[in-house]
Amino acid sequence: MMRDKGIIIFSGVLLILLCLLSLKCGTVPLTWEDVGGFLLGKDGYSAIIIKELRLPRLLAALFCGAALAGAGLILQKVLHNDLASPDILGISGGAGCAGLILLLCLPLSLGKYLNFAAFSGALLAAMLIYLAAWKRELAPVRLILAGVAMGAIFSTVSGAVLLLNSDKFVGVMEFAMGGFSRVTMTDFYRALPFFLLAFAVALTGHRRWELLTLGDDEAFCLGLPVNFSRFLALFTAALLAATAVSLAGLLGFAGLMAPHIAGKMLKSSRVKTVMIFAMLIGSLLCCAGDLLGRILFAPRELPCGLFLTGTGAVFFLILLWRQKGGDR
Amino acid sequence: MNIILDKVTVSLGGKTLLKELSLEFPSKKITVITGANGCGKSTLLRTAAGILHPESGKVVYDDKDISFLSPGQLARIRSAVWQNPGVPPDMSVRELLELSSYSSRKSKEDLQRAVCNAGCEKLLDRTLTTLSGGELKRAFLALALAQKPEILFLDELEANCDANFRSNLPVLLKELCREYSLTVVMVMHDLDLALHCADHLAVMREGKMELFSSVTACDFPDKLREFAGEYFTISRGEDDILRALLRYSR
Repeated sequence: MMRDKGIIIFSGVLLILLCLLSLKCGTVPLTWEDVGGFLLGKDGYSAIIIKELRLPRLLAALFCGAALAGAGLILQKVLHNDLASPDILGISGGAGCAGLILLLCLPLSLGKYLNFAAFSGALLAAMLIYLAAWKRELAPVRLILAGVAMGAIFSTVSGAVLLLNSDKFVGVMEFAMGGFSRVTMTDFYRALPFFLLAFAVALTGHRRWELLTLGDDEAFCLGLPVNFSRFLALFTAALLAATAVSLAGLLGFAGLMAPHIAGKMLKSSRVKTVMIFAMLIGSLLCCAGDLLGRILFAPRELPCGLFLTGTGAVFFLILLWRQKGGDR
Repeated sequence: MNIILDKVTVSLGGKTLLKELSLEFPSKKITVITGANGCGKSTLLRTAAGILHPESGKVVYDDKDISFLSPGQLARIRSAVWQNPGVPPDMSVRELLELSSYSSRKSKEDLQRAVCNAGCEKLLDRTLTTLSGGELKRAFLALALAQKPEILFLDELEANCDANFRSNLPVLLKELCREYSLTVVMVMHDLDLALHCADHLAVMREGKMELFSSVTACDFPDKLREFAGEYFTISRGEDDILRALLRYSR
């Protein structure tokens, strides 16, 4: 218990330091005095850079990372599958597909409705998965199969949309790869109520997700309405993923990696504790990916999604290597 | 609390598993359901527990039709230990027991009592994946008892358990029945063990109840020989309990 508290506090401190570093570092170098001044409410050139450029993307990275991690953990617990995540189940794919159609096929003036398009795409994906998987009950295996199928369908549609609009591809490349450079404070404030609602449902439902890990019969005998809870889990994961995609585009692997890292580091298996820590890890990953993308090849910038995908590949190779070595 | 199944029909995958089954599980007694593989024992248990919904007929707990009860209301009346429960990795026995509070708050005394009665005091800080078959059953039995049920359903509790657990099972069940004033309905493959545990024995065949009798009834041994005599030698043991010894082919 104390060990887990220590790990969570340490990670929180690390996140705060990373946030401060994110505000300081970039194409225009700032000093710690500039950052301190901004935090104390002072105006000036550096405060404008931080407020208009760096703060929105930092906040987006924090919330998107946490949202994707939360969605990934819920899906992994509820579907009894450690490889479940919003991208693998097609939920992020649905959001991304809707976003790409809006950005590439519809008039430019509709671009401000990207949030709404991503929401709609993710929720449509979730509904299609639910309908395809339903057969008297919502069995985890059927949900996974339906999700993978939907993911493939949305991937096909997205690929077709990109190919047919290849002249406009560069403009939406960051959305397709996942990144925060487009995010403004207006975008963030628009997404904030949905983030808060989704986080509230995800965290208050922790006992439901925990009971579902015991299997349907056991969970039902302990008083849980199983089908409704599984539907609620799918809806919550979709809401979390949709909000993240609407801000950051198709960020891969965050929803898959963060729950795994959190579960391995903590001694407790309580879903609430692991979820909070997974969200912290998700925020850390996205903040670090965004920061690296901005500073490594400055003044050019690489989207955060590239780093997450690369990190994810290395992470799973390490997991594979440890499994071969006999570690669990 | 007694359990009544009134002309219950259950079908799964297009196959009728229970057809117009009517029976009553007596209150505060242990009823063991046995029979060949695929005869419908677990289907009957899951229907009586409210997990499977009959396409016709009803299941009643003391005049209450359970189809009108919510999962939370059902959880406050009955609990169960299933044959293969999900075992979340890294979950400790103590964390498992805390889940019993989902339907209604449980005091520390309730949990302690359940732990003592299930005999898993020394297992509380162990993770579920490190437990043996018998230890895991004790942990889930403690979870079921922590709900303070009036009815307890047990699905092959003795499966994958060692001789120590199996030999103590009859005494454990009778003590639990007394301590919690329980109505116990359990599925068992082991007929000899069933005869040691049961107040009533139910033998099923192809979705129908072939025999339902108190084990102390005068004609029970003859009836049992009629259904099980092909594979078992039915006789009285030294403690006057009926024994069923499996006859092995040569």
